[in-house]
Amino acid sequence: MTVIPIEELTLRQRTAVAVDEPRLRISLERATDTLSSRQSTAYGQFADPERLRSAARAAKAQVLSRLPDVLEQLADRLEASGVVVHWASTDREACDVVTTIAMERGVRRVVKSKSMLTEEIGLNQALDGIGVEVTETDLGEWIIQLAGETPSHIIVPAIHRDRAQCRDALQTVSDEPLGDAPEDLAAFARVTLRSRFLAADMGISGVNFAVAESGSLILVTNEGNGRLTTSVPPIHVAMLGMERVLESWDQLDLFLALLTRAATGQPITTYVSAITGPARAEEGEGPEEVHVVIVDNGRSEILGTEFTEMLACVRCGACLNACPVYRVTGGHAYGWVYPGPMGAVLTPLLLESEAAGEVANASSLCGACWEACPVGIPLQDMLLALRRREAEEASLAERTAWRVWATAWSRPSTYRASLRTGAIATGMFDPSSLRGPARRWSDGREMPKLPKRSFRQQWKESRQ
Amino acid sequence: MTDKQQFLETVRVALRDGIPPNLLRPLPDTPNDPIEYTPDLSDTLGAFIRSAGDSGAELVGTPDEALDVVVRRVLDTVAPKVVAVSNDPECDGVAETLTSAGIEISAPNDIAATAAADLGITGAVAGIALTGSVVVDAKRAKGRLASLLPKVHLVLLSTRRIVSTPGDVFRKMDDWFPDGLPSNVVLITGPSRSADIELEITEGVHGPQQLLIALVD
Amino acid sequence: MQPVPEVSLFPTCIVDAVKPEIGFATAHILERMGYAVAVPDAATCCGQPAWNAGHAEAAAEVARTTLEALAETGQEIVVPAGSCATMIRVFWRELFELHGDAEDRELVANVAARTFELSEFMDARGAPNGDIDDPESVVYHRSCHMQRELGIVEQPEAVLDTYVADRRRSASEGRCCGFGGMFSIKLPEASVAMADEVLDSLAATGAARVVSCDASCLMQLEGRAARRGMDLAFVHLAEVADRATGSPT
Repeated sequence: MTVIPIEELTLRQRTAVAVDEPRLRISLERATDTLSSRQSTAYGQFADPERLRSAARAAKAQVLSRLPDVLEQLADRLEASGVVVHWASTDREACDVVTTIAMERGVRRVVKSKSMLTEEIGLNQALDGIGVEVTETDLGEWIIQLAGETPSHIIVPAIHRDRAQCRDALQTVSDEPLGDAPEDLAAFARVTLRSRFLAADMGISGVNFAVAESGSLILVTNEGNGRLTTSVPPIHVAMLGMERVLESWDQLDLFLALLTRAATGQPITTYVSAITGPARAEEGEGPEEVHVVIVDNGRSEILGTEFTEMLACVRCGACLNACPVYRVTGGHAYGWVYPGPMGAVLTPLLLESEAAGEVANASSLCGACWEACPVGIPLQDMLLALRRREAEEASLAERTAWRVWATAWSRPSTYRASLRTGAIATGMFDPSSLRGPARRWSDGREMPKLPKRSFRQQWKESRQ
Repeated sequence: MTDKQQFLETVRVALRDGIPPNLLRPLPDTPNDPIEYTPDLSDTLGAFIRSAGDSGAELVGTPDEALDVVVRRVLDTVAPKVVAVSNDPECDGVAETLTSAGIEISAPNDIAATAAADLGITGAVAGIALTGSVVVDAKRAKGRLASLLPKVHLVLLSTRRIVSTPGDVFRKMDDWFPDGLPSNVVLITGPSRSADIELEITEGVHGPQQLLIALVD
Repeated sequence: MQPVPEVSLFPTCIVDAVKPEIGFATAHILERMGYAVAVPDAATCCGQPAWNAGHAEAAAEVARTTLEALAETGQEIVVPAGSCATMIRVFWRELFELHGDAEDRELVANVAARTFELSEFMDARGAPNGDIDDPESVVYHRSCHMQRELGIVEQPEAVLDTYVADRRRSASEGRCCGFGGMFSIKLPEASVAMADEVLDSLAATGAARVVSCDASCLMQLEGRAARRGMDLAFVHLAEVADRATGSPT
């Protein structure tokens, strides 16, 4: 795995490695620029984009405030249409549900369409553990599966690789030498993956939205692998994060319009599938069995807290494309499956560890994420709230340093004295790293030249 | 394993005190009204043709032509050996055209046969002017693979079924599907595409490489 | 004779400690706008360094000193820094909700309502007349809090256009310079990479000077540009206005 493990390197080390890779920087700049400009063009189709954003924020808060009832309605409708509903509190349980279904039905080969939730719960590893062969069928996701990586972007998983690096990954499953033209690589993928679809015993997909009023699962894709995954194999298992539910088709209209424009700048993706139950007898084609696994895995601990609105995230990736930090570091520096600002919020909330808490620092709090978010999640406020939470657990040295600073700067006389003694560093620089805050600045930047006397001092003198 | 009641109880407990208010950025109460778009959609048909073209679909026939003529023209260009045909009402008569042209029709509901077809022909329950999408209903088509597996997909869309916006479908699902939703409804907009390698768009990575639309009456 | 209206200038800690010339330039402009300028002596820092690092209690302790000093003035308060003006106008409310009492919050409402970022104040009250004889081209760098939290975007550009003839626009307009307070120290490599991106596109405009309304952004960009040996000057909007309206260069 070339993923930088969250527990082994610090956030600073991970970002330092990433910004030092020129090829990665070029790929990221090009991709994020393209995606951001497509988003703003696509928003031009809305008479009042701000109003829609506001409506979506309101709608999602409403759904979340009555989530138990909405989930219950969804489950009832799903069951009425013949779907088997499973409930999983943890990642482990969610994986167990799927491996159990696979084992009971003698499943040997699984095709998957891209799902961040399955990355989060480690489903591929679980299936691998029971000897099931899993093929990711989204082109980008397949490339990184073959390369042994995790996605570095939630919409464009192989965004960090250039065409030659994509070719190298695909070459590992090709007998013929491959060129690096995207068109040829896509053609190779079509042929190779098509045979895997036809041979698969089970398809596993994520769910972009579930519509409670009819028990429908909405899948939004461009390649069509989502349709194949949910139409060709005899069993379809859909993994649903419990927060991805909407009450109504009216809400779906709003969220879909925002999602596709925010994600890829498309007025709509090539395919938007609404799946309502297994195939009916008169339809002839489609899976005989559909399962939905509704997953909590830490979401209920976010619900009802100041981070509740994070559960409105539609996984569009717009905050990644807008983020100046993501732009220079890419997704792997965030250390886990969710990158960018949304990842910097979700990682500390979903992963309980010191290393995860640190990820909230991967932001200059510039607010570009909030501006780009199609559902108006105030991500920068949440990053700040997470830092406050972390600060409570901060080292004694760090807390002491801030107390010393606060004592000095809350009295005008000691504040002035600190400026006089050139101890400005206490205020300007991180007291938590007193051993070398100046070096952390000056390794890449010149130190500002400090005046001998402060503005206030000079001002007083000039007015005497 | 967690059962439903346990799962939902955890969620209820989390919401015991509701969602805390946001001091800095209070939650809005903006209603979810139908979306207002900037493109002029008053000429629904014209807008549909424009949007479908933008999405990469090709218009191959208009209502003033006989369906037979349109289908034969497509056959000349695509030169299929095997064709998959859906059971949509718009496809009435297509089988005869194919047979008389000496072209094999793949067996219905046979995945391998449909996968081997070079062309899939379906109808559509609706068309959407804003996006150039066609809406394909698995129950009406009696299957979902003819629009998915072959490299070329020909859709026969009645001009009377074209609406302005996706909301005209989504916000009126009960009108479109009065007998309940089929197992699969899909909005198709242009050919299958991927931008996963350097964001360069390639067509036909999994679904049809070409989407042909013939407008019928 | 009409009494001369007074304004309070809150210079911010960074101007106080690092860039006194920005403080003087601000005072000169306000005087040319017809105000008598007072600098509240007891104000120190808005608390932002600690606030952004998550240490809200320390932030509140420092901010309270400044809050009380500013509350006493009873005048309009001008801040030559978008991010400190944001701290006062936007985040103090939350800060004193977390670590304050009803009295603090009352003071915050009072102070926030009469606090202005400098370019906003100049634009609203009429920037002093100046000469557009500046031969040098400039490019304006938007600071993050100012544009996104306060929504102040057009004002500084309009003010600038009254003093300079050749204002250019960079491709990275609106993108963060990578300072972010403690961020610049906690993740210095990422912070520098962000500065480089912004600097490259500022330099690509061919402008001779970079103008901003935040001394902190200028310090970050200037520090990095100096290390790279780039031929770019960095000035605060107040300095541009001061020079164009009468101060000797």
